[in-house]
Amino acid sequence: MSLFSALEINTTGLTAQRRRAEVASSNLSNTDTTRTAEGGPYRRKDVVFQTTTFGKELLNANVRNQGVEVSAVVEDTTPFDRRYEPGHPDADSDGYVSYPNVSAMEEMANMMSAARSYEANIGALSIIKTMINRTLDLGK
Amino acid sequence: MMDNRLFPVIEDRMDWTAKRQQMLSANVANIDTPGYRTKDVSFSEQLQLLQLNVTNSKHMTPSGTDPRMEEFEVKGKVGLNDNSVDLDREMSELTKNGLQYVALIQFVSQKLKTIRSAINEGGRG
Repeated sequence: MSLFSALEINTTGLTAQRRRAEVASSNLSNTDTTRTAEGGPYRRKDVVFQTTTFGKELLNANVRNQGVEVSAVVEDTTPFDRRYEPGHPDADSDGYVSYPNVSAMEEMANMMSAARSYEANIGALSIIKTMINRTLDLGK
Repeated sequence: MMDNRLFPVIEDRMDWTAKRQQMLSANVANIDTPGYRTKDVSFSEQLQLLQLNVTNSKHMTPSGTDPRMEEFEVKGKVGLNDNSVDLDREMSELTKNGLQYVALIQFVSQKLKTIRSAINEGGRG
């Protein structure tokens, strides 16, 4: 039934937006992390969204259901924030400490945007759910 | 008595509506995907599905062409993230499409009730 495919499409949207929120959370919580397992300060991460095609063809062989997925989590290569803190254990010989290239403000905006998009998918899901429920009630 | 030839037409329309819902769902899912363009389907050929009774040569005849849905790209402003999905449009279209589907269901439901009433000899049902 094609309505179930519609449900799946929006589910991919939910998953992708949740991943994005997770990454933003991780960035936010590490705004001041100067030590990581890979060494050096924490590097800001970002998600890459990509359309996915799955399931049966919708109209013809060329048009298929298009969902979305997080194809990669990439690192932000912008330079670290260098602050003069000679007393800091991670300060270099000049007394500068490299802090993560994370802007709390930016991450909050990113987080809110992800939440809005997540809600949009939920909205679509609830409409489809109503459609399916009404179909099931047919003939009652 | 009962014109049950209407059922296939309604069924077909329900199928189209459900498919359009998929298209609109895809737009919502891809609201943040760079390079994505809003897509929709048209139902222009839908009318030709109606199997009308032709009792007069001047009546319109169903041409019986393949009622393939046609996909088209919705013109819209492309935002900073190279994406043209307008959330307000999508949500309103989703709601409209959903209501259309429910209306069709309602119609079939009423039709079934009428048939049931006939089977039950009217008042005794």
